Amino acid sequence: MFVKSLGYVGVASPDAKQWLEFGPEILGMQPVEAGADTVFLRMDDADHRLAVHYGDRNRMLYAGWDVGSEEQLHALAERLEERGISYNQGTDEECADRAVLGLLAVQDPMGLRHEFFYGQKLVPNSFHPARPMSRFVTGSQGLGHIVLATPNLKQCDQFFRDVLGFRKSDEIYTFMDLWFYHCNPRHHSLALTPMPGVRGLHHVMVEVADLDDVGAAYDECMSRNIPLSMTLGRHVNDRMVSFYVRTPAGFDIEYGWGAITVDDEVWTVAQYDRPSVWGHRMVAETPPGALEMSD
Amino acid sequence: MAIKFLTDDWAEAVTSAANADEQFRAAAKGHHLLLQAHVEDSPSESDYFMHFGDGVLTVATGTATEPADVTAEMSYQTNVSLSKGDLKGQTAAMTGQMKVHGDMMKMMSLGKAQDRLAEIESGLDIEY
Repeated sequence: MFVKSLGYVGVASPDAKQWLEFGPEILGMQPVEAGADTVFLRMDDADHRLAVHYGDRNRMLYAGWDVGSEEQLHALAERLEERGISYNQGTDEECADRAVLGLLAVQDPMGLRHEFFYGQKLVPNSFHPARPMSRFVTGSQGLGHIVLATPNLKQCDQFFRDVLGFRKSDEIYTFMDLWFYHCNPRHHSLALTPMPGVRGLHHVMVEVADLDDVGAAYDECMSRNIPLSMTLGRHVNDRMVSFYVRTPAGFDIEYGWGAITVDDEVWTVAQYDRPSVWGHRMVAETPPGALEMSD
Repeated sequence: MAIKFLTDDWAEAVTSAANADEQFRAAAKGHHLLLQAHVEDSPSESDYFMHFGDGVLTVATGTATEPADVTAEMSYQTNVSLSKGDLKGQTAAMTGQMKVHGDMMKMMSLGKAQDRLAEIESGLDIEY
């Protein structure tokens, strides 16, 4: 297992600056403007967890995965070389931008960029949520999870499991098929959904420590008429109580509480025929907007 | 003899072919959706609708009398690609080539039926 947790996610959006309001007021994140073109969103004492860069269209630019140490980064590089997978060493400038000590970047089979890093910058006691709330559940579980659309599920499954060492959590077969993967006790840090000819970021999940924080965010969406993508509900597999809201960058945020954790000693993979125990009614009136044609 | 795309003959041919297809009927069973489509730059009809009614499909040109669950807008070329099976409906919708608005749950629930419908339509002799 090379990956320890999901460390950061970077997206592009023409409406990057809207995150200066959306991030803190709806999600409770701490925004930091980084130059004229980037908004960082903080969720804990890590330098940043989400990076929204100005761009001409909504799309995912990179996902950053923490491998834990320089030795592990070298081991991953050797694994990639063994498998004939090309990678780029992060430049000093890229490492400074991401606030990490070292990184390498790989294109996954669908052409999305994944960065593997160690040494994320931490500033103790520096995180201040933008509205009264408990905290985001991060630490060893990382910032949350990402769900990626892929035109080739099996090829991507092989990449993430056989090359990177992710473990299958479970599978859901409904109007959207979903395969879930973990790399730490979080039920899933990654999920893949097959979509013909399409790749990109479907949603990012962030977890809070108190159900009331979910309710407060839900209330903010209601009072400001911010359209939800899915109503409040509880997922069948990770048991997360959550709702989904469309962000200014096109992808959805799943804002949740109460997920179970995975213990590999006793965990067994299951399959489900529905996404939720209750709720999660899809009320979106448009498809997610950060997907793109695959190569 | 080839059927001209986006005409009443085309709508009738697609309707008949879909309703004769067991795989389509099975995929569409239990689902209800009225999809109203608008095609920019069409040399024939610019508007048509598809009604999925518990495994039975009705395609007709023009505007449906009932309010649509989902509206779709696309270029003529995109619609040709969909008709030929070169582009899947889900791909067109997710990448913005077809701008859809409305009940996404109903739309996505019919994904497999729509994929089968595209396969059926691509097998028809259509003149574009």
